[in-house]
Amino acid sequence: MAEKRKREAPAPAPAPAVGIDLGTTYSCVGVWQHGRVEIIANDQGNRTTPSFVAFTNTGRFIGDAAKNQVDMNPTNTVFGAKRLIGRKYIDPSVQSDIKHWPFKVIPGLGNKPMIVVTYKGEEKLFATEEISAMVLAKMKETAEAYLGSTVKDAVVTVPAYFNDSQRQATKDAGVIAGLNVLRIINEPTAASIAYGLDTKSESTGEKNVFIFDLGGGTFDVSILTIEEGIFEVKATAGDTHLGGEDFDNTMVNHFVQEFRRKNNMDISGNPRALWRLKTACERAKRILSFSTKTEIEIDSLFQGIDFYSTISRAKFEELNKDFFTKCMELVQKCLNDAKMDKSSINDVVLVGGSTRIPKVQQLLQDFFPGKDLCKSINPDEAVAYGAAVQAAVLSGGGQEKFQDFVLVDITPLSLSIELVGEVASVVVPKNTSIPTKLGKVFVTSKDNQTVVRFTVFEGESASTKDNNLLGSFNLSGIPPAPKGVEMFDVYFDIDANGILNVSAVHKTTGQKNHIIITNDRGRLSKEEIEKMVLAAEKYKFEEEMYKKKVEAKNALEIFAYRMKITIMNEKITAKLPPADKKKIENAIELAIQWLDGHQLVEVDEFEDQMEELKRICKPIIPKSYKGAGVINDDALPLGRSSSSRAAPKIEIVD
Amino acid sequence: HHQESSPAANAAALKIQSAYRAYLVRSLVKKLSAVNSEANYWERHIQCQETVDAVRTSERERIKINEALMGLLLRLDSVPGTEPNVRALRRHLSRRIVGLQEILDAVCDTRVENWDVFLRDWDDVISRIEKEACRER
Repeated sequence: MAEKRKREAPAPAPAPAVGIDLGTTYSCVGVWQHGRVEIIANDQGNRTTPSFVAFTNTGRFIGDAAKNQVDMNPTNTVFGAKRLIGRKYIDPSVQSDIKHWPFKVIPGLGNKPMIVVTYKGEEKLFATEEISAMVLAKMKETAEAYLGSTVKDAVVTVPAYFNDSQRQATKDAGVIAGLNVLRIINEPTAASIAYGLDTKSESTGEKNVFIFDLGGGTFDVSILTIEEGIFEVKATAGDTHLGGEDFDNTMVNHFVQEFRRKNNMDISGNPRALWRLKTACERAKRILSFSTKTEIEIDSLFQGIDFYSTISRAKFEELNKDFFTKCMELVQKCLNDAKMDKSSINDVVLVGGSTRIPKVQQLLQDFFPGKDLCKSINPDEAVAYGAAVQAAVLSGGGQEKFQDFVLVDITPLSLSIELVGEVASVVVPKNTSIPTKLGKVFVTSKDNQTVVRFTVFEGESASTKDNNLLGSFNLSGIPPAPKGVEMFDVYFDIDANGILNVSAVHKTTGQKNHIIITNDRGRLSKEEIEKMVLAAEKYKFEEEMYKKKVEAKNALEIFAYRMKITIMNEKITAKLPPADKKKIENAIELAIQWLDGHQLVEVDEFEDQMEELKRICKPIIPKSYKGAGVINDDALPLGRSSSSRAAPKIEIVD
Repeated sequence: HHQESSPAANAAALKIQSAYRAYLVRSLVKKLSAVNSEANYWERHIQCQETVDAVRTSERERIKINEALMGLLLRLDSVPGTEPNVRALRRHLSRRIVGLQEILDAVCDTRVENWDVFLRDWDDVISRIEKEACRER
């Protein structure tokens, strides 16, 4: 068939697939272009975007805008959604996280954590997937603004320890954001791809890579084995609450104490003072990565007192000594878990902004003597970088460079069927490369058993009670027979995204049943996802409407003020009858007053006001822009930064 | 051959250094004057009766102004004060903005936890600000 197909004219090049690092505190997007990865800056010019979503009375903010107002609107600013995604409300980690968050999380249907915010004066509930979807949508927009075309396909990264439900939920978030998630890949895998560790040909064949990821809020270490493009996670360790913010906080505490010593005053109860101090400490920390000493200067920090101090790199290291020690302990633990000696590690990869800290690098270098640390790629961007490479590979795009490039991900945990007595019978061993389909034969456990229950678990324990229940299903209509006679083929089918489909077939009757590991674990249903997709579009639409209102308001404001200046110009008003002049002045004044009283009404109300004002002001509108539609900014000195954008709207005078 | 500290070389070094320092100071002052003009805007804004009414009734309005003032302070905090004149200017501006924050708080009568120390003597704060303002005039 294939050879019969006509050669088609090349279709217009679609937007390339992007790679997205959906982080706990920051997210990053990259794309493969012109033979290399481009990390894309957002509308604020930043190459990483805070994973923050804020809800206010006027609208929704995502990214930098959301983070900037977090201290002013804490209960409606959502962050750290990654700590909730795909987990249940009763999960101990969820319980401990929500204690520290200013926004409200409540248990929803099926024990899914739901985030409660006040949006436009109304209380709203959002699923974690929806919040992550908003961040993903922002990354998608960022990429679209750069590429100038619609982006559909994406590779999204998740931590290596994410289970099936967390991966699935992340994938759902992608769908809600309007993305086709080509694949979910592990963050350490992406970082290794970024450094090309999978393709560097070395005679040894197998290669062990140590990934050290110290980000803003989380610390992850993992050991990967790469062989012929197959990535295998040997072990992971880490601390879900250790990162750059902790280093800032120790510095803040240090200075709070210093302030107390110097002035005998406690600033720890003053949010504004703490905010300024924290911002200054964050800046100082960055400076200390390349300088050995820096100053902190905050005028009028508390009750009119200026706070000036210095901090050295050595002091910074001493303050955070315990954190650094903990990092290295976890490095050793990871090696122990992988049953590896540190000498068998071939490469050490640094990921996450906090790996810029010289002390961290030095400790790692001392721990792995003689090994080069892979740190040439910006550590904030390495994961997105690798995801972008992977996206290019998966979307094909005829990249010759990738022809011999295979990437295989693996199952992080063993998957098993429960036998009598809570015994786990492993069907898919841990670290099996996916996609995969593996089967095993099971028999009945009782005499005359007509219904068989298949219960699926994930985890490494031999007893199912220590493992994680994924779901179960029944197969009925089995002809009565002595135990052990009736046989069933059970297949575990895992697709490239790690989504599991378990099926069982009765050998003699051909009766079958199956389960896709979804709803039992708090996954969203197809209908729910569709609903959320619609909601996401609605929010986007509302945002656009808001922007239009602001534009219409600005246009009217600018026009009114321009006219106000024009009417004061005696050259223009000389020929005008005083009555007309008065009328125009009144109209302008009325419009300005109306504007003050109407913050954001509908677009057409602004437009109606504009039409009315234009009609009355017609005699004084300079001829130059009646005909040509060109506004001379020199003649109308009220030019603001927004005026040039609003200008085209004023062109249509008649 | 290499000549140490020839007058011409010295003069050149001096010229380059002073030009660079001037550039540094200019760019910092530019930053400060941008903050200053925004502070002017907010000062006028806060003085309007409409704003006072708005911040008293709407939390959103208060948050908006608070956020803007905090943003200005953070921008000031990022200006290094190695040059004494730059530092003096920054200090002056910081004080002015903190003053605006205090006026805003007084207007809203915000009762935030742990701020009672400050609230107890906000009359003093206001009179201090007023005095300072008079002195400037």
